[in-house]
Amino acid sequence: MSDIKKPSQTTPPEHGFDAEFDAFLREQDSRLAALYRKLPHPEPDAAIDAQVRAQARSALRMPSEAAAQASRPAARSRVQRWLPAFGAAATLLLVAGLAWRLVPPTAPPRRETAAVADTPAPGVTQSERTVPMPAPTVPPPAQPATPPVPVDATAQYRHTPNTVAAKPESSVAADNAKTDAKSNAGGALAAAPKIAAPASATPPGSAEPTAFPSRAVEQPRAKSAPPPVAATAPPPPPAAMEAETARSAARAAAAPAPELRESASADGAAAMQAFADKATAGGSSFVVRPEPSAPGRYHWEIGGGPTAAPARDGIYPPDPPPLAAWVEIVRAMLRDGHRDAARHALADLRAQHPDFRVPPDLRGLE
Amino acid sequence: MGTGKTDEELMLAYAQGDALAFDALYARTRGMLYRFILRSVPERAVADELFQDTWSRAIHARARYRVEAKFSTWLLQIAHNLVVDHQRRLRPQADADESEHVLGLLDVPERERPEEVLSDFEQRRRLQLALEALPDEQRNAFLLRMESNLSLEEIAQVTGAGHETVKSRLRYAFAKIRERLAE
Repeated sequence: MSDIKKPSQTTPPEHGFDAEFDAFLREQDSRLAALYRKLPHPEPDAAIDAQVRAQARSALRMPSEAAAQASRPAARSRVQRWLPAFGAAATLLLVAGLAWRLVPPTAPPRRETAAVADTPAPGVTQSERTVPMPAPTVPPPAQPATPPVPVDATAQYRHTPNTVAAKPESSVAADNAKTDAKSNAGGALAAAPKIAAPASATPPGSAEPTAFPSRAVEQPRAKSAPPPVAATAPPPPPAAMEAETARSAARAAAAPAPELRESASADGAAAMQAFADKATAGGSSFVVRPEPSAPGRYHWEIGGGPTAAPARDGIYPPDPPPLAAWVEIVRAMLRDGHRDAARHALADLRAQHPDFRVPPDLRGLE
Repeated sequence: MGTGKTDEELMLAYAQGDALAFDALYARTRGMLYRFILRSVPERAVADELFQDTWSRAIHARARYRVEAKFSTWLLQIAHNLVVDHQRRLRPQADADESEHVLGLLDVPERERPEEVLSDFEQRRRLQLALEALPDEQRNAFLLRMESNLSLEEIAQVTGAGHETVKSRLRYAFAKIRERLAE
C-alpha cells in the first residue's frame, strides 16, 4: 500500500483529495483500496455452487431453448414471408387481368379513353365499361392513420433535443433508435400502430425481402388503411405509379419523426445508446405492427442491412423478435391496452437478454 | 481444464456444450460476483438468490453470448440489473443530488484522520458501514470498481450510466467513505 502524499501546509486539502481520488481511479494501490481488500471475502456456499453447476449441466442436456427459438421463427418466417408475396402477386394478377381486359392494346391514354367512351370495343359489356378508371389525379394509395416514416434517428436527436414531455409514451423509442455512429445505415423507429424503420441510407422498401414484388412493399401498409378500394381498384397508369412512388419516397425521406424523443436522463440515453448500438448493428431495420387476426400479437420484420443477418420475420408471441423490435412490441402492447401481455413480453425479453437494461418507460411493468 | 483460456473463450466453449469450461469459468468468477452482490444487497439470503438468478440467466442466455465485452462485464451487467431491480423494490431511487458538504469535510489534516489511528478492525467495520450507507448507485459503482476492478468505461457499460456520471458517483462514494472513516 502506498502512502498518499500528505498535504502540506500550503496545499489545499481538495488537492490532496483529488490526488488520492485519481490514484484510486488509476490503480488499486490506494489507501481505500487497501482497506477494502482487508474486508472479509465471503463466498457462496458449497450448496449454491453445486446447484449452479448442476443447472449448467442440465441446461446442456436439454436442447437449448435459444436454439429452438431461433429455429422456430425461421420455419415460420419462410411461410409468412411468402404469404404477403402471394397475396400481392394475386392482387396484381387480378388487377392486371382486369386492366388488360378493359384497355384495348391500341387505346390512347386512359384519360382519353374515359372521356371518349361512346365507342365501346366489341365484346366489352356496359358493366365492364363502367368500372371506374383511374383519373389523372389518382388519389395516393391509402395511408395508415399514422403513416410509418423512416427516420434518421440521429438527425432527430439533433433537431429535437427537448421534446421529452410531449409524448412520454414513446420517449425511449428515440433512445432505442439512436443510431450506431459506426454504421452507415441509420437504424430507425417510428411508433405504433405500425413501426416501420427502413435504414435512412436505403431507399424505401429496400428492407423488404427481395422475393417481394416491388409493389408488395406497400401491401402491409394498405392493410391498416380504411379504404378497401385501394386493393381492388385498377392500377394507376404507369406514369402515375411512378410519380406516386416518387412522392412516397420523398415523403418517407423527408417526413419528420414525431414519435422520437430524447431520453429523460443522461443515464437512460447512455443505456439506450448501448442498446441501440446492439439493436441496429449491421444497419438492419425492423417493422412492428399488430397482427389483425390475433389481438395482442404483433408481426415483426427485420430487414437485412449491408452487413446484417438475412431478413426475417415472425409473430410475437411466440417468435422472439430482435431486441429492438421486441422492446417496441412491448410498448405497442402497452399502447394497445394489453398490459398483461406487455408484462409477459418484457419478462420474456429479459429472460432472453438478461444483460438488457430496461428503459425507464417500461420499468413500471417489472 | 480451461486454465489457459480466457473467460470469454470458456463461455463460448460452454455455449458449445463444454461443461468443464463452465466449471472453470464459475470457479474464476464466483467470488467476485458473489461479493459484488452481497455488498450491494447486504441480506445474505437475498444475495444468494440473486447470485443464483444471475447464473441462471447467464446459463439460459449462453447461446446469445457474444464476445463484445469481457465476460465479467457481461455477467456483472446481469447481476447489476437484478440488484437494481431489488433495490428499486426496497426503496425509492437514491437521490442523485448529493450534498456538497461531503466534499467540504475532506480538509481534515491527514494526521488527524481517524483511519490513521483506528484499529484495523474498526476501520474495516466503518468501511462496511460506510458502504451500506451509500446511495445504491454510488455503492454499485464503488463496488464494481473495487471488487471487480472495472474501468470507468466498463462501469458505465454495466450500469448504463455515462462516463462522467460514473466518475461523479465514484467521487461522491469515495468522499463519503472517507467521511465515515473520519467520524
